[in-house]
Amino acid sequence: MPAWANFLGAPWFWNATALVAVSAVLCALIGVFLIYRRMSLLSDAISHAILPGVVLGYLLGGFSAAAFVSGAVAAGLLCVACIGLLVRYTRLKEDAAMGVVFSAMFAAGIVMLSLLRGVDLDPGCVVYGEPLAAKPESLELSLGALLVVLGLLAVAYRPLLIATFDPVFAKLVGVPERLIHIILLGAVALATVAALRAVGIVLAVAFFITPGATAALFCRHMGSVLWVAALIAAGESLVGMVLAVAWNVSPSGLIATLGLGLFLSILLWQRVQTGNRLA
Amino acid sequence: MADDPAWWALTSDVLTLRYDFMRHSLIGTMLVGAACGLLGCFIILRRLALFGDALGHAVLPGVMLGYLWGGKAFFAIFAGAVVTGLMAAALVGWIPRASRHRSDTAIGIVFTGFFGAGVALLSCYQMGTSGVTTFLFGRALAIGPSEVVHAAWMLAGVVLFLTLAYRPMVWMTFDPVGAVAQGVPVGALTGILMVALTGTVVVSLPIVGAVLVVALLVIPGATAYLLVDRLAPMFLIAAIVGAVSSLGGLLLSHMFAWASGAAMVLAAAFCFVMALMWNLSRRKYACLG
Repeated sequence: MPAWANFLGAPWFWNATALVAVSAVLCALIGVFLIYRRMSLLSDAISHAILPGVVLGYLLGGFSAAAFVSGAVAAGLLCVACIGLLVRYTRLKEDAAMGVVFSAMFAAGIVMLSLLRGVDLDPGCVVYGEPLAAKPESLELSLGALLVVLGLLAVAYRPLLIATFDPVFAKLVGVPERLIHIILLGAVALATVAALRAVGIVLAVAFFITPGATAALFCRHMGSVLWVAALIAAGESLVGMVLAVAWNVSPSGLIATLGLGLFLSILLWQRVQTGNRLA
Repeated sequence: MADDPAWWALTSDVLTLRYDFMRHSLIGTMLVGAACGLLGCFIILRRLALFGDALGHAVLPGVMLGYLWGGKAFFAIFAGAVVTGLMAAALVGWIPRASRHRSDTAIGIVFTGFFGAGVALLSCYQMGTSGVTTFLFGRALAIGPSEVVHAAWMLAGVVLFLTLAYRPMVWMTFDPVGAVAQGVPVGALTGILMVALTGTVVVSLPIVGAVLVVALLVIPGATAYLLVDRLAPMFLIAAIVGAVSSLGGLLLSHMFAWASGAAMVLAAAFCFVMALMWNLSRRKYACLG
């Protein structure tokens, strides 16, 4: 093994890679539904808005997964509720309402963090994640979240599909559309907090949206989109972690860049194949 | 806190602008706040809020490359930011035409990819953690005279642009089709608006940082939009809200040791909530009367 690759034999590398890969698959599975439900940017807003909830959860409940998750889910739902109320009761459009609410909540979280010096949640980690510095509990949290999401998919796959692609039919056959929407919003908050160590808040959207969007370029069936998105997420995590440690750069930043690169390469290749280069 | 004499001494130092650095950061942030507020009106009216967010993130790799190649020269940073900002904008426009994805998905893919590249570059050239957090969260208290000059030029440029191109911009904003039909150079004006936005984002980066720049662009404009129905007062109010919330945030940051960029955003959010309450109460009485 060449000298630069010595880290491939080290357990800390594989622990961190497992954390990133589990978090990436978790986000990618939820993200597929976000894309088809036109919630791509709402997930951006939610992932920013969980920050004050996470800090409050820490203040009230200490360093425990339950405190982080409940704070995050509460803050995420509050953010969506505020956006909905602003759109309904003022003449602000949805994009402006989202911009106002999530940036204000994120700023509140940053202020709260800046007051809690010496806490195990530093602003850098919040923005771009630090998987190499993660503790084993982080992997347990993201594995648990992945199991919850897989369980949800197993139990409610068909209602989720119907509610996503044909809301009218969903209403007709009695699928609880509203409940599914709220569960999905909660899942976004859960996934963001579970992936916080690996991914960070600002880059969370890259992990939610990009693998599913890449898979959707060439898959025609929802089941295959989910499988391919999970595979892409895991593969990008592995390649990204190896390169990031070899080059000593930020893993989540590199993985987000790789994701954009893969998406653009496939899209460009498809355009060239069909002889439709510009449109 | 309030019964600590040292705290009162510090606060009075702040309020009386005793120190040079305080004067620089106050003037610089107020100029940037006003410029962001003015451009923010167009962002609100043309529904570009999420595009503004994306732009704030997408300029990061360009800022980094300009910083690495051109030293700290403002022009190099600005040029890098304009290049990556326009590249990102072009990709966001191209992806929905080339695939079945909608533009919100395209924004999500592109801006995170660019921002990730910027974060990777930042971590690659370890400019110390302070360098990293300066670009990501801003450090309003660390800005110097040169940043103040850049902010002043940027505000002057924005005001000049608005004065010269006021009528065509208004036309283009409210009636894009009619404006094209009447020969208004919509493409050129949109290009200038994009470059002005990118420039404003670049001068805001050292002050509020890439992650929160969207707040300075959106919140003052949204506040003014809730208060008035005409465009000229909307510009005026947005600029004032931008400047005043920058000032207020800086004072909060000084007095309570809050992160400065986030404190400015919270001050702006406070103005927004006040405007919202006024707006809602006025509507209630209008219904009753």
